[in-house]
Amino acid sequence: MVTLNINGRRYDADAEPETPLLWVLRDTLGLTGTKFGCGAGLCGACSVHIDGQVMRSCMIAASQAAGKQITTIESIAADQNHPVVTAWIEHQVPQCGYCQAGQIMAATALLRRNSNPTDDDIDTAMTNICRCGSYGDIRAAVHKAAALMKG
Amino acid sequence: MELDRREFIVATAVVSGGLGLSILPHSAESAAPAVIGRVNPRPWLPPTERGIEINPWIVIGPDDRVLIRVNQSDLGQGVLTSNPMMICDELGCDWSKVQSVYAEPNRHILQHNLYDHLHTEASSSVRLGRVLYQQAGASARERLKAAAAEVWQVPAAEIEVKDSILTHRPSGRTLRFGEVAARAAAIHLDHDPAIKTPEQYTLIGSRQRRFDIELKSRAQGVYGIDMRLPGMVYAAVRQSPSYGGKLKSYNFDAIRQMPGVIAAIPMDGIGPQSGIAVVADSWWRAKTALEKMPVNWDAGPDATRGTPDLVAAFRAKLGQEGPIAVDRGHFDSGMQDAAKTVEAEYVLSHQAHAQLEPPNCTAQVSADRAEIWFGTQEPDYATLIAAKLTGLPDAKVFVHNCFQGGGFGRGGLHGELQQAVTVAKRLNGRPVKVLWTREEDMAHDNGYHPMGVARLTAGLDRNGMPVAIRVRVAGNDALEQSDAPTGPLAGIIEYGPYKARMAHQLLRGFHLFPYAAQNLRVEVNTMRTWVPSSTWRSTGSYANVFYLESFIDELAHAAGRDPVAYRRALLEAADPSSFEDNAKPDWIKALDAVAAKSDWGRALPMGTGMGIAIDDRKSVAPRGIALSALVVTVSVSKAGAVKIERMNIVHDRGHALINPEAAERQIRGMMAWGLSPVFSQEITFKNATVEQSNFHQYEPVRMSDYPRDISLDFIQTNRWISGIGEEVVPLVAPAVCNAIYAATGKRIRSVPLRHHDLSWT
Repeated sequence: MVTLNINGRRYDADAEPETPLLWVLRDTLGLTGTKFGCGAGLCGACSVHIDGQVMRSCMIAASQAAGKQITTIESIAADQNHPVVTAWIEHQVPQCGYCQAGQIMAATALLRRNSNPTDDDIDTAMTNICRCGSYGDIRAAVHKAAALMKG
Repeated sequence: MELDRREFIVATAVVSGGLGLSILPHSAESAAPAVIGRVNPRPWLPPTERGIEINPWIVIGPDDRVLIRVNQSDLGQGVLTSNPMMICDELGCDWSKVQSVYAEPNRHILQHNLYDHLHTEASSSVRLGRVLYQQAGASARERLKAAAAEVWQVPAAEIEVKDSILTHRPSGRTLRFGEVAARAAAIHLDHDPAIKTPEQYTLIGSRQRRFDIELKSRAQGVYGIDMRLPGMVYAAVRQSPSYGGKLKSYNFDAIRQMPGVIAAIPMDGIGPQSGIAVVADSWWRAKTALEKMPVNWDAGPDATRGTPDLVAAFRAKLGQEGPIAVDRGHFDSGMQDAAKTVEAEYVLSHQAHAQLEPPNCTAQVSADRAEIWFGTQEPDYATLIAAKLTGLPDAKVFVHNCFQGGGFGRGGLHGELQQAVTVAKRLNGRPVKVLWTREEDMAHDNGYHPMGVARLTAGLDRNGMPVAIRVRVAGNDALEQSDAPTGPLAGIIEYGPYKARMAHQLLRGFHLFPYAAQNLRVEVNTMRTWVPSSTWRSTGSYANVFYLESFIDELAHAAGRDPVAYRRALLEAADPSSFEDNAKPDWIKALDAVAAKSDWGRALPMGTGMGIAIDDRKSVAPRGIALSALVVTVSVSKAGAVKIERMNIVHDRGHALINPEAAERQIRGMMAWGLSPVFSQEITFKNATVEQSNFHQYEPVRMSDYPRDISLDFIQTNRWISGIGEEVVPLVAPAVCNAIYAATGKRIRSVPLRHHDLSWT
């Protein structure tokens, strides 16, 4: 049993402590917005925030995340006016859409520490794989979200 | 919502059947309210309750809501939106009230291909569907008008339709679609009305937001991997690491006591390999147990072979005459007149699809029913496969097509479905989700993009113009796994003056050679190997355009001519019959347009260069073209690092793009797909085993590789283009390599670039 704080709520998850957080989120708790892409920290589809930092949940044991504030895409998406989600919709970023939860988590973390990222900043921070090649739209949406956050 | 109820009942029966599994713990799915809008998060279910079915494509609700059934899979290309646009352009409904849902595969099959086709492949959505959709919309509109005419007792010709309102012009009376839908459903037309021609479109060609955008931006779309059913168990699977190998033995006792482990199930003869599944109450437990379980494989007869053997076998074909597809004039005597000879050999690697959603399939099989949930490009074919594997009649097999995390030509093949059904049959009605690791996917893509080699030989006259060209290719047949005996999906054709047998994808494009050459020979060697091969975004064009557009560039430089001017001269001199659909002037138009847009010929600093490629994606069968031209500007550092500075794309829009918002995004996305094998991506084999295991060894381009400066312009031509899902992919590699030559003087005849030293001084 692992106790986790996810999106401001406490969960007792029936899983071995060494189970990657990704699988506790998806299979034990049913939070399937966080996606599995590689299982090796290479693609970013499973990105979540842990204590405000973007992390790849396939590489973190559930026990390592215990006692920390975990934020998943479900929390971001529930905000009807979230600037990153709003920008994603406005720029019609998703194609197949599978990587986009991870992309949005990466973008949200980037904008939290850098409210006005340059293209170079985006290149450095946004390393998630998109097989459909939506990179240009992601770049535009990150700039748009930055503008929305300035209000 | 019949399907919802059915799912619930089946699931309940399983749980109450006493399988000894605790019900899944409290679900947190309700954390975010689902967006119920234009598409259900479960796209096989309608977003809201049913209305009146006017025809199999169109359902109208009492509130004028129009539900359109879509007979294709949305892989991100936007068919859940653009297919309804083609229907609703005719129907005359209020677009803001339109919703869409996948057509039911089971009904499609039982009613004898009710929706004509359910597959999604080869960029065929508009090509195969447009007339059908327009007709469905036009006929429904006329029936609604006839229904209103009955109510008012007036001639239908006096009725106008707009935004779901029927208006009797002389009297000004109105009725809403929802008010006459039931009456319209009972009306039969004597003849189908004519459909609109392009100048009459109101919705087609307009910019519309895709119906699935908000769902996907809020991570609420249900992909196959997201399926959860009460009582569901999970399976991790492994096939023989080596191709041609099979399962010899395994020791379930070694893992039996591990937490959550339920069973180990061997899968004989599934897909290209046999394999083993471990079933547990969570996927992580199943995967962990599978990794711990001792498994022995019989490596099989090909176990010592690898990519070098394949390359050697393919290249051996290039030194001798192969099956002749085109034999115009006399190549050998033409060469005797040549003032200069140019010869070059090209090599392309295998590629995997590596769609980001790893293969998975959820299946529930009982004595009288099978339910399947996964994302597929061929839900009809999947139904038939599941019926065959279960022994159930087609009527008892229900495939629910989920959102799909990428297709790219892979999705039509169904190894994961076969595994899920095989495992589910052993579980007495308990649902099971089979999920592959990324490593399993890399090692067992159901079919890799074929590798290929080519040797092109040309004789040039004193002016540098070709007098003789010979193209000799050897490659895998991309469709060798196809069951289709004839037609466009059958891999092998008999072609040319000597009726030689060859894979049509290996001939693709060379059958109508666009550049003038009075003596021309094309030879196609179709290789059958132990590597399963398949379609892959652009399939045969990917290789042949690389060969031809690289070689024409080499000829231009050998002739001392500018590559654009040289191509233009060769196109001008080509016989018009060398082009499908009288496209010769369009080729020249596209070439001129992309040259102008890119400011071709402008002075560039050392280490920077521009390269061009052009193609129209013609196929031996089916007919249809989509012309595109690409200029890439690259910079190459002295150390040899390549950066894509700019990409200028010109694309044929024909009569219309259905939804430019979706089409343009697909085209820009293709730049990433095309650049991935250029920079890094390739699949190689050693001991009949794939050497790349994950994205650290099979590296798609990321944001930092993706050019910031991309222009996309369209030329208007007098045709319906054949498609827009993959047309620009083949241009990327040759345009980049031609640009590298312009920048550095280094001619690159194979990709990925990481194998080449591009440094310069």
